[in-house]
Amino acid sequence: MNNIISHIFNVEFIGVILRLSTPLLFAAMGNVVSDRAGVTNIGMEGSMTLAAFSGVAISAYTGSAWLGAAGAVAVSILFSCFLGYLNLYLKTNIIMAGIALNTFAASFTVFLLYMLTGQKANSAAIASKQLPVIRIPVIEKIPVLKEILSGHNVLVYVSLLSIAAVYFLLNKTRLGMHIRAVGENETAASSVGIRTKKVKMEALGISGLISGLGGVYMSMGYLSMFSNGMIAGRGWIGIAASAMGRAKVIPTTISAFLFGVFDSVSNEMQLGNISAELIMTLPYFAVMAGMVIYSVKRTKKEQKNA
Amino acid sequence: MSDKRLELKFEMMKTAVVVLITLVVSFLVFLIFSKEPVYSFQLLLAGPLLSIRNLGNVIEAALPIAFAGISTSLLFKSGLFNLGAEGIFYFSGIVATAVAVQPLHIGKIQLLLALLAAALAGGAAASISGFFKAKYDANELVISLMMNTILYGFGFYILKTKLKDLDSVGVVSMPFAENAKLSTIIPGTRISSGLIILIVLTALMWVLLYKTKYGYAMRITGYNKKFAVYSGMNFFVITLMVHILSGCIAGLGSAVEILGISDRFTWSALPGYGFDGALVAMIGRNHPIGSVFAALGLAYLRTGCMITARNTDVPSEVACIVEITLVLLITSDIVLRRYKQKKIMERGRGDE
Repeated sequence: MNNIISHIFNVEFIGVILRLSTPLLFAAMGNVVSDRAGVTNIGMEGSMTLAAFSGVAISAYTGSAWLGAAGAVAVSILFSCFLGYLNLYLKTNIIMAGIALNTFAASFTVFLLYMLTGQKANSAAIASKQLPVIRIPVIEKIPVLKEILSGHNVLVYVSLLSIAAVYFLLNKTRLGMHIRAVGENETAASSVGIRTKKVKMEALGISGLISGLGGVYMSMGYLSMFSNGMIAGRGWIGIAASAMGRAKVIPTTISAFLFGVFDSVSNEMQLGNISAELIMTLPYFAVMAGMVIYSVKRTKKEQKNA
Repeated sequence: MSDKRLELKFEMMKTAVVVLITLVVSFLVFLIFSKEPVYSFQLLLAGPLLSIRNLGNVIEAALPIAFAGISTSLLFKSGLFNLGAEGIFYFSGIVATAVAVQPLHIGKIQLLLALLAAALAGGAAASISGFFKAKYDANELVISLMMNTILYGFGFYILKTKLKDLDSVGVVSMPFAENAKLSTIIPGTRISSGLIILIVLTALMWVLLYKTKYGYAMRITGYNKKFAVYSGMNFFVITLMVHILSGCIAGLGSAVEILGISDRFTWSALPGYGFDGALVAMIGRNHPIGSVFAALGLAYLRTGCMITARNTDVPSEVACIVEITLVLLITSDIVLRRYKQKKIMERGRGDE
């Protein structure tokens, strides 16, 4: 027990939280963009899985980690847009289409993995590349900050930048304004000439781009290979984080980090004899409580106004 | 031609076209990935029919999906997007196990107790998201997804600390008492009396939905919530009851699955039946009988893929390609859309 506590109250542990929060942050930010446009990207889990796989496969074939990452993000964007096409143009229910696409991504990556390597568990047999680790010049010299801030995978920093990028996109750009307008009231938006379907597609594409980075991080940063089921619900957590943060950038970021903290703590707990299964349910309880409190408040307010 | 008949004719034609497209797509996939595409394709199509055992496999695989499908279709029919069957399947399985491993010596009553306990646990779990939806309009999709992981966490914890077989290497439960197991009804297969439970349940749900005023209230609520509320239907009661009923069915399905074909509880992860249930509910147009047939179809496809994978060079994951084509085509508007529009236009002109 003391061992675990000393593990947790340790500067290195902040680094662990940062590393485990990265994919959740990407997923959450991706969802903020699409949620704001009024479409929940249910296919997030699938786009992250496909991106994680494509990154590994493409980098192994081209020999370049950056080409791998770019290809993976492209696949993820296409995947999210396909979901949008099914929902917006073919009128498929988005939850159904999303679940079907997630199931598809989960098995299809295993299928391709088997075709490429003859193995179904992981891609250890192919020599894929990893994205570089960044050492920040000045901070590298400062003892405590060094361990927290420096020496992470490049995508860890990109995920932090993505918070600002999404904030900027939504609040300072024309597309962002359109996204918010469509999400808040589609009829009103279309009445002033905004092409709502196009805006929703663009929001889903951006959502795919950001979440794709999360997938790439898992297989080319956090680990150096693709393994079956490695996304492990992180896409869903992104959806939950965005729901809990009501698709606002700052609250969603806080929720995503909250999940990251619980994830890291339960990782450490597995070393001790406290049941990791129970600890792992805590963030989900937190989301549920958040959703319920929000809904209760809203209902009370509506009743008062009525 | 009346609206209903046109709709039915259209649905049947659409299904036929979809199946045809799916077959063509899967054959193309086999051409690319297999050295013996024709043989593989034959096995995929006819494999499940080759022996009683294979046919049995189809029905065994369809049972839990059908329960999950009926459970989910009730929710969808009432306009509720709840995917909680997944977690309920796990948790109710644990509850059924807790009853089934006790040395009670009360004969087959133990089986009844296990089924009942699993159903009640499922209903209780579903009532949580049901209550918050009904009272505060909390997003049932997010809450049910959260509940899935929470139920799994608790279930696995109970399995590990209270039910684990200490003589076994993996995390599996102690073996079930003989009296707690469902009996096999068709020799040469593992089809259990759960099949009878499923048939009775399907009939009951059909009567409930289409022959009683409660079912009418559920369908109207799903069709147009505002209309239902203005007509004096109680949204709170309907929503809560549908959730509880759906949870009970999922819980019962879970108990039927584990007490029907296994000797002990072995799931170390969520089993996936909840999502399968949502798919078959959707394919079966949220109709209980439709869901059962969709479950049979899905199980046939998966068994065919498994047999193909066992005997050829095609991996079983190919099933996913066939599945996705089928599901997306059926749930989308793409096939025969022009044809349908044309027919409706023609009829419109005829009426003038």
